[in-house]
Amino acid sequence: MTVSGHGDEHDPEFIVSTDLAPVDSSPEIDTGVDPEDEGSSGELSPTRLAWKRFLANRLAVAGLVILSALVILCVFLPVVMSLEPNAVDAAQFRKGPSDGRPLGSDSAGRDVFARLVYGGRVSLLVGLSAAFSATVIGMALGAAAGFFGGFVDGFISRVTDVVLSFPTVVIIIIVAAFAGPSLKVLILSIALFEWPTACRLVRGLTLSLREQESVVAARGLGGRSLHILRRHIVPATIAPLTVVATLLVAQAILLEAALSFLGLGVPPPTASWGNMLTESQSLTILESMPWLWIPPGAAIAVAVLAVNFVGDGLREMADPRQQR
Amino acid sequence: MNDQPLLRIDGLVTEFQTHSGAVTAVAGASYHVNRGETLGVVGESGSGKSVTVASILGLLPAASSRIRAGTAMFDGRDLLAMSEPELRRVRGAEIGLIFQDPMTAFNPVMTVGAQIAESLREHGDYSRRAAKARVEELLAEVGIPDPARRARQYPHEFSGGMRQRAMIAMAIANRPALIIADEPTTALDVTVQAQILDLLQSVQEEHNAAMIMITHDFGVIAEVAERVVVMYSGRVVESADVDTAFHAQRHPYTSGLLDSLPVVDRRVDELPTIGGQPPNPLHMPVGCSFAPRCERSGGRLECRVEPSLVTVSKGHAVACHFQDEAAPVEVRS
Amino acid sequence: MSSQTPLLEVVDLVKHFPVRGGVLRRQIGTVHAVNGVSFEINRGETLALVGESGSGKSTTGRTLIGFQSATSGTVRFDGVDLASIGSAERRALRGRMQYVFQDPYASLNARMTVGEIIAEPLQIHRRGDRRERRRRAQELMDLVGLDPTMHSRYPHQFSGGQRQRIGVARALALEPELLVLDEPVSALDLSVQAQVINLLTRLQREMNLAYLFIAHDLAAVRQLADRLAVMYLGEIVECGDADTVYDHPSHPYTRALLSAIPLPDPRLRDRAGRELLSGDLPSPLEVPSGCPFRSRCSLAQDRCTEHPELKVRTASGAMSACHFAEEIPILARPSAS
Repeated sequence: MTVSGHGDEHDPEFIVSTDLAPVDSSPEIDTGVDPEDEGSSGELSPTRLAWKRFLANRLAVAGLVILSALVILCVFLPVVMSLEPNAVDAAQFRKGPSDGRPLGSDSAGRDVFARLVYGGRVSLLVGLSAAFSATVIGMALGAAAGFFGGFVDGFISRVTDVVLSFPTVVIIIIVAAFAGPSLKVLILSIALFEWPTACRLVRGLTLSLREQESVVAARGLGGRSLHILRRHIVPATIAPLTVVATLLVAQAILLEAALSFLGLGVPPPTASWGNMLTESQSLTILESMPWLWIPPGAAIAVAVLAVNFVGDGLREMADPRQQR
Repeated sequence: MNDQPLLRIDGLVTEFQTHSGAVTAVAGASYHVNRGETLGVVGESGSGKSVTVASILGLLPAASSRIRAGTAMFDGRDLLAMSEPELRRVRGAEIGLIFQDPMTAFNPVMTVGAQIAESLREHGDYSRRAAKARVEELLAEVGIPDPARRARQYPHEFSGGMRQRAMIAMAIANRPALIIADEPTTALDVTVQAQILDLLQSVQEEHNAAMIMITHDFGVIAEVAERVVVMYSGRVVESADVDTAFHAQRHPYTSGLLDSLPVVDRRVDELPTIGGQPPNPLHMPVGCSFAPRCERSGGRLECRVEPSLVTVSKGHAVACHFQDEAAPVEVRS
Repeated sequence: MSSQTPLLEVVDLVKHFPVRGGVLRRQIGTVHAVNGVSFEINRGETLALVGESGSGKSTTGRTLIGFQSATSGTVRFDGVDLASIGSAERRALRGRMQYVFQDPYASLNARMTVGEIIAEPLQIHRRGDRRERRRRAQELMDLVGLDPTMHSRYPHQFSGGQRQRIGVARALALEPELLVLDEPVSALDLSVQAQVINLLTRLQREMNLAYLFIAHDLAAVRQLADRLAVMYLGEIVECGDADTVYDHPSHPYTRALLSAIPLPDPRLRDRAGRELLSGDLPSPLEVPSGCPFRSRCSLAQDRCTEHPELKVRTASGAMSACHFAEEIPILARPSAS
């Protein structure tokens, strides 16, 4: 039958391939464990297996290590060292690296290294929380849209389209104008910009998951919508969603940098990698004072790269059918 | 008259690399096909019946498979020693292939006629016109009505049974000496299956070709085969002429399987079964791979050694240490 | 709702699927998957619904259990019309009528342990706490022949036959009275099929279950069927006691179907009565008028443009939808030794 509709007479699936050989199912060896076999391991959950796949990807592991290192350094260095990111010392005005100040001082005589560490806290915090909020919002709306369809889907999809078509900066300027620039506003604005990506993904996944036999089975058992969403749909979306979430983190870090650079982000005197770059906007600084802009720039680049590698690894992990 | 077998497979060992380790899909398979005869190869999933054939035809995924041992003498030449271009020539002209899913054999963006014509012209000397005529002849021979119009259609425009007929047409186009059919009717309805089996037999007779029919369906074997090879877990466990295979089998797997078949004209309270399931290819038991499920074995020590295929009478070979003992029938659910 | 009422009554069930095409996705055709199907199942009995692809048997099963809504027709369970009750009542009724899927892998959530899968119906209907549910899941695993200590394993760690048992265990969790089984053994290896068929027989006996067994494999069905209904292009063309239908089919399609089955005995190879159907199955988009089998039937005549009613036409008592039921030549049934 070549019918486009919900015909479900279990049509053989047409495998379109120009390969000569249809080598039968034998190569896809069923490695289902023989219960009488004592050598088999116990609860090899799909998550554990996926984790093993992740660990096999060296770049992803490297990214994870670097990212963790950044987070740990930014969080714990201030505890073990005494750092004064906001202490102004006019005598140190734009001085290069020296004893006690490994990265020199900025235009207000503040310790660049200290600002880098504290700025990292801010940038990473903004990145992680904005992405997290965006993911949660996007997942909830996407699952609702995909699952309930009809009016709900229509409404959410239109809202998604609208948000996507607005230029980011415009939204954030408006929000900042009304609410005043602050960290909270920044996180919220970035999240509001980023949620449609997660929403679209989850909506698409939900649409296809909804038709799967295991979901049909759950409905047949009398399962209500909430139960199905909680037990069948959402768990299946977590894996692809983490991929998107990591990319959103990268995007959020960059956005924060850009916005702070424009003066719309983290308000001074709080340090962030973005507004450290703002202060490096003159030719003189760029030419002759690399310690002012290379550290924050490099930090942003390294963080974003690391996050991207982790995202790649997660993507591979989420696809159980990938063959290496 | 050459009475050497047309195809003789000897000691074939094929291995696959999976992320859980190496899997031996074929562990020393040996059988032969004589000219003009129909050989049925029967086994369940994991028996290696399809992989055996794919191995000798060079159709395995090269990256993850390895043929570790064995020879495959086809008309005096070893297929396993041939290069890919040579194999390709043999595949198109001397050995015809019919698969379970015709869609994988056909290119979905070319018309059926064009594809058959391409095969004809690659292996024979045909002008465009001659090829076109021959295509229509072939489609008519396999029972496709209105062959001229059908030749201009695409594979997806054919129904399941008709696609299978078209695939048969493609397989016999160059008058091969051997036709290999791998589960050709498994995906078809039973009424269509009967038509296709009938067609295969008449085509085979007409072209005087030998045929290897690979299937898991004993009914199909009984319908078409002259000789039968039973495979289990990568090995041949029994080979005999069809009547002996069904009525005088010696291997406990063969008898167990036949006994457990539900038959259309008989209802029993409980079907005799073979307990357990086929072994996990990653953890193959030492010795006879059927022993863990075998009632005849009774845990005897001999079964720790892999039995070799031994000829017990003319044309009948069995791989069982105790092939002269009758297998007890046990009921289990 | 006495014990005399059939457990399940299906009356004139119709299911059509619209085919949408074109730029505006308008309806350009209809797939007549199920075209007026009626039957009954009594407590503890098995009705086998057989047919080839395109017959509508799976759609019938999925529609009557409620996975999709019927285009028209009535389904009564224990005398209660399913369309007339509210969703709360229907959910309660779900417990008494369960479905076993064809694909034992796709119908199990790969992220849940087997114990959780089997106990899910209990969780949905809030029966018992977690410990009780786990105990019941283990009980059910034992009932279907699985090792209860494996309840914390995941579906991919089991073989096909075992997964099918898991599906059956899940269907039994709420102690149903009727199971709709959609091709439960066709995806399994031969040596495992017999095990599962035996399991189903035993369960039916122990729990007095009624089965609607949907299949294309007439041999597998033979072991369980008390009554048999043969479907072709969305209609039942023959229905009656299983032995009668097998031995004395009263519809040409049934006859052709039975004769086409290859018997596993080479000595029966050239038996009399073999019949090969000509032509192809008409598309369910264009069901021929009159008798649906008309285009391929060797007995077809002018009268066949008149749609035949399914009713008792021969002394055997089976219902047939063929005008010429009495004239169907008796199929010579060879016996397999």
